[in-house]
Amino acid sequence: MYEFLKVDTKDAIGTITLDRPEAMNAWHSPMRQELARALNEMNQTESVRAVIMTGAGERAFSAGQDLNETKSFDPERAGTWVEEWRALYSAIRGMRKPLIAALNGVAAGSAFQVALQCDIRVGHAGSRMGQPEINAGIASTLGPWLMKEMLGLSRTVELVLTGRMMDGEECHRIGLIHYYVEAGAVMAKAREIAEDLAAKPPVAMRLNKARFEEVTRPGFEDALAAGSRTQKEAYESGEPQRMMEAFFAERAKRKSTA
Amino acid sequence: MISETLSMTQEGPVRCLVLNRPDRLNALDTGLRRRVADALNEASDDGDVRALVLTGAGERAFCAGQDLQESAEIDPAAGRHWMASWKAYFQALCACKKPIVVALNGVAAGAGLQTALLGDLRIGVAQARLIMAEVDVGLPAITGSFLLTQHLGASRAMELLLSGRAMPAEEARAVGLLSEIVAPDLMAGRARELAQELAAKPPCAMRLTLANLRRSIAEGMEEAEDAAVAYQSEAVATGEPQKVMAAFLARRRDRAAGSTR
Repeated sequence: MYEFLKVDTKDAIGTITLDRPEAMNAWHSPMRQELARALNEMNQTESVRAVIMTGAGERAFSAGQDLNETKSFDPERAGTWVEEWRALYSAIRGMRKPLIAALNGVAAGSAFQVALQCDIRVGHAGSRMGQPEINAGIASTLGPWLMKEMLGLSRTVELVLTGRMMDGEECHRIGLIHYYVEAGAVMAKAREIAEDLAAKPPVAMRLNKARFEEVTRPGFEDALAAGSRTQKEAYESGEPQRMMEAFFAERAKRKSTA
Repeated sequence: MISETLSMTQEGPVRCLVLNRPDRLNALDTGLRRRVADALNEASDDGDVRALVLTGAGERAFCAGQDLQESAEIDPAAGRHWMASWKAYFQALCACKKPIVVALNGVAAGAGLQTALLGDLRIGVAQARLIMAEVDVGLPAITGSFLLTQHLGASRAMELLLSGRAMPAEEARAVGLLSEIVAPDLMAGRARELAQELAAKPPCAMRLTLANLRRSIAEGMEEAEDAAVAYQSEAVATGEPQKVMAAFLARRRDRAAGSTR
């Protein structure tokens, strides 16, 4: 039923596991569509009262965008690419039940953005997070918007312009990781939180979630609109394609000498 | 190129601007504001500049903000004209197409702090102090309020604005306003190094990312500046800020005279 995810429901808790460990759970268009579908199904299943999202393997929650997909984009495809994010992000934003990110490893770029759109984040020292888009020649709009809401302008600009990845300890210190535990305890802690939240009165839970979605909607729409304009312009310049080719060439060289 | 109050050097793709009125704590008078704005506008469109460093001369201050000597002498009727010149100054910062590394070599107060907050990366020496004390000179801090709220959230911004207290560098680092604290003799080098790092990023992604980050701040600043014209004019029309500043300057003269005796 799902090619790139593992999905399971136990008692009132649904769990979605991003499952491309050989690619650090990076996503391409079909995987994003599956993820949106899985979230929508959980949302509509009344017996599910809380959902956990995590990644397969020990290295990554998700590396974010699969650069093998984006390296061949043309400007038009870059514009529709941003609209594809709307489907996934809207599925997350439309969740009427709490969504918990169990950060088993790194969450980079759009996976960082997905993690930030979850409600509660559990992580460990190796839960590195950040917005390294600039290093691949990709301009970012949605990430900075989400980050600024949580971190304020100063840290947002520093992270977005340098592309620096934070370790789990820093993420915890500045408030992005709510529960900081040993690597082996991440899933158990996420499950404990999910059970606690699943037991809350569901109508109040649903209305609280709906209100957060409503108040952040203008910012979300603005960031998406800016994203469409910006990605089109970036790909017209040819820069992201060149940067990603260089990235793959570098990686191939490292592998052949290793 | 060196003008009397703003010095400029270029090292590879990095242009370094130094506020150079150390005897006045690098305060921004009309002339310096215009020079900084011109330099930023020029660097913005200069293909050889990929990143900027902005710092202050001397060991005491990055920038003490507005030049109180000048502000104390404003004719109430000229309040709006004075505000328009500030608007042009902040506009140049908000519209800059290149990333700006701000190196706080000392105190950043009032408009000096706002200047720092409109930069992109901030580092500072341990002796640096961040102060938004407009309230102590009888002026409402309208754009300062907007910027502090963007950086720190409403709770910390309000406390700083109403108290006018000095935030030490260590606290500024803890709340994220400074990304690093650097020894004074290493700071200029570290600022250039960070600027070089930003200068080496893919330029199109940098330009578009910056444009997007600046867009929302520019809109908010413009709204705050328009509001500030009305609020500052109301304050200046009461004569209170001029009186408070004149008293402040008189105390400073007395202290200076006392210390030479």
